[in-house]
Amino acid sequence: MSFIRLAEREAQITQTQLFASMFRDDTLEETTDLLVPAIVPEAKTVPFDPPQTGLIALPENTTIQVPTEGTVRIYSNNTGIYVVDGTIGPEGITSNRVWFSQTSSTSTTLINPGVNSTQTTSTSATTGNIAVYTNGNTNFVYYNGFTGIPVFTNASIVGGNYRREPQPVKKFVKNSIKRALKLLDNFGMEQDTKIFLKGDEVEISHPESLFKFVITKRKYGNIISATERPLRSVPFTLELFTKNGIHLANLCVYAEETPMLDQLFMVAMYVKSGNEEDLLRKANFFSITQDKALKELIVSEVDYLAPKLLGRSGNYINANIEGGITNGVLLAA
Amino acid sequence: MEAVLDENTVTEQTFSCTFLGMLGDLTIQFDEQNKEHVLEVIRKKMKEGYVFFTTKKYLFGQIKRKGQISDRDIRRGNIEDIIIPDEQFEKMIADMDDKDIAGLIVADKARVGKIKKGKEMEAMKKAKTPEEVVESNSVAMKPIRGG
Repeated sequence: MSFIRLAEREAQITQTQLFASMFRDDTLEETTDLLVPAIVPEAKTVPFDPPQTGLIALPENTTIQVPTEGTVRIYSNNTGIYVVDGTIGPEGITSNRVWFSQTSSTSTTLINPGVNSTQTTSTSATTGNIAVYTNGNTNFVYYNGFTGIPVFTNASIVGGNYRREPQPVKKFVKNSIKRALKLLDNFGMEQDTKIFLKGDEVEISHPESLFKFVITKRKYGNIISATERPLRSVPFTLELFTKNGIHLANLCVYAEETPMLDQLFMVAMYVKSGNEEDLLRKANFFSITQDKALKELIVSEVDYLAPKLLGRSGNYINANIEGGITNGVLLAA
Repeated sequence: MEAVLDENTVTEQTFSCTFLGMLGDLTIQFDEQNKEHVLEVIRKKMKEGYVFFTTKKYLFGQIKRKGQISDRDIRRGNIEDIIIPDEQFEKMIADMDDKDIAGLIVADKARVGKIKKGKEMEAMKKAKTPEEVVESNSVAMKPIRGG
C-alpha cells in the first residue's frame, strides 16, 4: 500500500481532468468560468453624444434615454430586435428583449411589451428609457421628432446594467475551448488570444512579408457555436493589410472541421512560419480595395495574387508602376 | 489497459505530432521503433490534404501505459504521473474524431501526450514529406479551403 500526500493527490486530479478533457462529453454545464467574460463582457458606460436624428450604431445591452415626446424607431440590421414606433417584431425573436420605462412626476412605469405590441413615449412623462438587450448582433437605433423637431437633444446612451444569463454549454465544447486556449498559450499567443476574445484587432505578420493579417472577433460571433458546429467559412473577420496599414481585402479561408480558436491558431501558424502564400492562394478575396494602382503594385511584387486582386486574367501590366506615385507604399512601414 | 502520464521519462528518440480537431488538439507520441506505423498514417493524412508543421525542438510531454513506470515511481509520488482507468481510456478512443490516430493508440504504436509551454511558431517549418514529420515534433492542420 502506498501513501500520497494530499498536495500530490490534488495535482494528480488536475492531470486527470486534463486527460478527461479529450473525451466528447455532451453534458451541459453552466458557463461560470473563464469563458463568460470572453463572451458576455460586462456592460459599461459608453459616453455618447447622439446626433439630432439619424441612424447610429447601438452597442449591445444599452439603455437609451428617450424624450418625453416623439417616436422611437429601433432597427436591427439582421436578426436582432426590430422596433418601429414601439412595435416589436418579427415574431420568433426570443433571445432579445426590449422594454420601455417611463418616469413621470409621480410614478415610474416599466413596460415589457409583447411581440408586436405598441409602445409610444407618453407626453406626460418627464423622462423615458428604452432598454435594448441583444444577443450580440449589431443593432441600430433610429429616432426622429414627433413633429419634425429634432429630439434627443439632451439624450445620452449609457451602458445598461443588464447581464445576460449564462447559457449551458456542452462539456466537450468547453474542454475544446480550454484546450485551444492552452495551445495558443503554449505557442506564445496568450496576449493575442486575450485581445482577440476582447474583440480588438490581432495583427499577425511575418518579418519578411509585405502583408499583415488582421483578425477581429465578430460582434455576433459566438465562440460556443463556432466550436460545437464549425461553419464552412472563416469564423472571424480576417483582413489583409499592407505592413503600413493600407487595407487590401477581406479574406475567407478556413481549415475543415476546426473550431474557432484553432482556426486562429491555424492562421497564425501559416503566417508566422512563413507560409502565408498557402493561405492567400486558397483564400476567397472580397471587399477588395478599389485602388487600382495599389493592386498593380502589390501584384508586381507578389505575382500569385494577380488572379485574386485583378481578376482571372491577371492582366495588370502597367508601365507606370515603376517609379510611380505609389512606389514605396508597401515598404514604407 | 491503463495509461500513465509521465513527463519525466521522455527520451530524445521520442517524436510527437499534434492534431487539431473538433475536441481540441490531440498530441500523440511515438518512438523510433514505431515510426514506420506512424509514417503510414502521416502519408495517408498528407494525401488527404493535411499540412504538417515541424520543429526539431523537443518540447512535448508524454502519456504512457501503466507498467512502463515502476510502482516505486508511483510511491515516490511523482506528481506528473496519472493512471487512466480502462473505462476512461476506452471511452477516449471511442470518442476520438480521428479513427486513424485512435488506431495507432489502440495498437500501442503511439501514446497520448500533451504540449508544453515555450514553443515558437516562427521556428516551425512546413513539412514536404511524411518522413520529415516522423523525424520531428509536428503540428498537423486539416486541409484549408477558401470560403
